[in-house]
Amino acid sequence: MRYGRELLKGSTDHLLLSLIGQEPMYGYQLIKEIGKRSGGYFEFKEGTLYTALHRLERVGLIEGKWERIPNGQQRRYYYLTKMGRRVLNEKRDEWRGFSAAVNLVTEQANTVWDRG
Amino acid sequence: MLPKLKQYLASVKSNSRLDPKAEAEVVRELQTHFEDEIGELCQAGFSTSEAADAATKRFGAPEALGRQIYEVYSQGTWNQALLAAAPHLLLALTFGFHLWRNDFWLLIAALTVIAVTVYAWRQGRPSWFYSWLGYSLIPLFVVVLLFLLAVGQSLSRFMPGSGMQWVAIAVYALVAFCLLGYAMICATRRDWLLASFMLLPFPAIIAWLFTLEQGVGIFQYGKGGFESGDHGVSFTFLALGGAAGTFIRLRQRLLKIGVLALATLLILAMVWRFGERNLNPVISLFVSFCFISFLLSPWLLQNRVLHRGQTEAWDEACLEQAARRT
Repeated sequence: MRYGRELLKGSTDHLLLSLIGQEPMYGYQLIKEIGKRSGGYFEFKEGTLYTALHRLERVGLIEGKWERIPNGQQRRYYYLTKMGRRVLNEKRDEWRGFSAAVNLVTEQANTVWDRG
Repeated sequence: MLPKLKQYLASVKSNSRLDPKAEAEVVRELQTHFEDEIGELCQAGFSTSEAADAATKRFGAPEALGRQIYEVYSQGTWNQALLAAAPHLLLALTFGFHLWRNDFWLLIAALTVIAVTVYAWRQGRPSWFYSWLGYSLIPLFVVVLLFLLAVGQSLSRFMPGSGMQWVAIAVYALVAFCLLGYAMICATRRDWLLASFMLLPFPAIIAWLFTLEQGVGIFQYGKGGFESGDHGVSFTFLALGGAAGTFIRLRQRLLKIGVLALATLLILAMVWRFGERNLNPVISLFVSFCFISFLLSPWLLQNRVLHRGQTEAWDEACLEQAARRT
């Protein structure tokens, strides 16, 4: 099933902050993780990802640091900042409230539809 | 690096117009992403060339990516906006309180401008640096002029004749022209719009000099007794400060261009209003056109300073620099 582009656009920051909040990751790893954890549902374009990461870094929600990976090469890992953690918690609460409300409305409507 | 990737990254870079520090970070990061992606595709059976094609395709058009990155970085913070407005406000203060007659104040102001410019240069030339660079060229020209005139006068003791002063002025004009040209080329190589931003105070200064010269005369004005004129100059530079701050805070290029053009028109209107000059509307329009063209002239310069060969050599150097820095 395809999702609306606008729907993903509105959730990009939340998804990225959630993943980075669990463990520091670099760009390529983030794309792979999002695809894997969503069962292939979300497909992030690289251009979208890096624009979003740099935007989040500019506003101080994440911080990028160059680090060496086991094969000796360097990758830019992103860490959640204190402000990022606070915004993530706010977004999480917002999303929970929103999805619960949407479910309440749509499930009632679905029940009526099924009865009819 | 594969030519396809090099070309892609060069295109992203030329469209993102970042300061060298941020550019090195972005280019290096995209490069490492390509390395990972191509490595994985090669393991899946793709040839290196096919893998590079597929990887760049996934990234999308480099011009679009460059523009998106530009928009992320183009909007400065409020602090940066204040820093960009600061040299204009310093000049507004200097005239608002008639401090330009105080030699000590002028020396402090000139040293501050030069010190901040050098500091910002060493910090990787952020956007607000160009505002200070424009002003740092002005006292520099005055110092060069005074120095050359002094040299001309001392030489004329041994070589009589007023010709030495003319030689000094000619050399000064050449040096000043070369310095301004060099600064404009350096700024245009990064972004022609920043070169225009650097030129922002020049139309105001030129307009005021002409207006005062045609009114009371520059040297007469310098002797004093015309303090009321100082307020006009002060308001003009206050307006320029506002324009510089707005320029830094805006995200889109078209809006930034609009701010520069509007600021120039506003400045000219203020100079004519405060300078009590009643110009013919056709002449006013012509002068406005000339000043806006002057301000946006780096746009024409960009094609000359960044012709193909230079761009490629520059890209190569930048990628190497990015790898070293990171």
